Amino acid sequence: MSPLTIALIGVAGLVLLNLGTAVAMRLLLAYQRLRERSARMRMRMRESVAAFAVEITDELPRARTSFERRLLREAMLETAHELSGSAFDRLAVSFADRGFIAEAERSLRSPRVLQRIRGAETIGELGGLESVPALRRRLGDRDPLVRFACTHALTRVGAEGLLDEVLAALSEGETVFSQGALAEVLLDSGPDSVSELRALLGDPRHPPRRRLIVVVLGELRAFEAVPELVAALDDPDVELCARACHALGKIGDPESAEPLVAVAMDGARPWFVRTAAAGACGQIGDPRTADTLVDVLDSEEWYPRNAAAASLVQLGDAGLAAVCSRVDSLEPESVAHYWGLLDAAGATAPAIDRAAAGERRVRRFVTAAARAGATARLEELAGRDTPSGRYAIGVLRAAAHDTQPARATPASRPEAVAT
Amino acid sequence: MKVLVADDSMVVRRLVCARLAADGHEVFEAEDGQAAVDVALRERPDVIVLDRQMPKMDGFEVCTRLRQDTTLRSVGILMLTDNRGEHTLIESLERGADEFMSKPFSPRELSVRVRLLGSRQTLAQTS
Repeated sequence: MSPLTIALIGVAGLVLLNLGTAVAMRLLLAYQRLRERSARMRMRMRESVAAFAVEITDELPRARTSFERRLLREAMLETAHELSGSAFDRLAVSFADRGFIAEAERSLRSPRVLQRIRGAETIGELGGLESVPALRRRLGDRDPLVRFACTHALTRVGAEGLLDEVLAALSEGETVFSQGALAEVLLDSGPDSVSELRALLGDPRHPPRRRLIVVVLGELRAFEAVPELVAALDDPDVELCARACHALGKIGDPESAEPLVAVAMDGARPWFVRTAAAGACGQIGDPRTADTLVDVLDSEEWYPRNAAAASLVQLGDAGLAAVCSRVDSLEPESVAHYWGLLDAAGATAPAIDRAAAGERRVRRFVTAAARAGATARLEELAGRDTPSGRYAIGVLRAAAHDTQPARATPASRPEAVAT
Repeated sequence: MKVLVADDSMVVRRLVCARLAADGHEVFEAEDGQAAVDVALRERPDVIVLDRQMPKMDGFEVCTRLRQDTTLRSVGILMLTDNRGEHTLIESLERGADEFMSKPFSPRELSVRVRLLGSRQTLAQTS
């Protein structure tokens, strides 16, 4: 090859490279412009949809191309997600008028899984009861995620009387769905579903479903379900029983305090059931449960004892009075346990003030707690020149003497001075 | 009335700002907690609509910082949050929020609450 040919090939190569670079640059610029344009359009859509939702304008932006239509649909969905009340209703009506719900129903029949899921989600976000038949047809979908999206959408649009069907659609291959996901679907059905849930709770064929329903009834604060939940306390399924205790605690009906106290005191029950029952008593806040909780406070097992101590703290003065009245018969570690939780709740300093002011029962409790080793708060107060500070010094000295019985004599016990 | 809207969600900011601007308020925006504090110190708004969860500084922290500033101690704060739980409500009030609304929210309700909050703050300042 002659040098001239080589030079010509080199020049041609350079020209081609320049041309290629120029084309690539143009394509890149065009792509960037397209992105900027679509970002501007998306922003305009969002602003127009927001203005429509808050009733500044009566016109939604026009969407001529399929791309604009997609942007409008997305803007309406993301805006509706943040809204409630009349603004949401306004968007939902316009969304259906524009044919987006009909499109979503058609997507439910798509051969592509993602399309079917997207269709169900769209209906769940902005659809209504008109779409219930289309969603029900997909409850038998072979893909579990589509079934899940359809059940979620059904509960979100407020379909009533379908919970049995919804749960059946989700129970096939239960390992696919976590209990949390199932609970989310049931919770979305809201308080209107309580009567249906009560009826389903009575069906003993599906133990996992019953346990889930009990939790959901508690989360929904379903006051009218208290009789069924109290009945569940005697169910042979101990896990159901523990969850019923938690649910009753959340609902907080004082009528359920008595059966819960009976469960908390029943030594034949597993520890976690008694713990749940003791904890629920505190949530209900009925002072009549205080005496029984003091019995549970003396339990040898840590968890029931801790739940009883926490509940007594929640009961406030009634809890303190119950502990004070029986402090002489309680185990030192039970007293210390209650004191610890009382202290965490910021209630030991007021108790020490009351003791320093001369309340005999509270004095006995503070002294017992100090003897059990719960002295941190007293030591903190002991440095102050206040009645409580001086009282704290006395109690600490008495406690110190009690831990050295050989040297202590009744006459010399500083607690005698303090009390 | 000057209103600051602090929320990291652009959709929420658009909705709230559009409603409040249509009500005749002068509206400022901030997309994170730090920006909210900066704008509040610069513009001295009468009311702040504050999101609970924001980057850089959450709504609670913003509330605390604003209440520490003597000139902003009396600004009306409406906390807008995803969580309607008792804990969030109580903490919002303890940190110095005057009003509480949960998402999803009604723009009409927000509009009325902001107006009443502004009037209340004005009355408190004049009396």
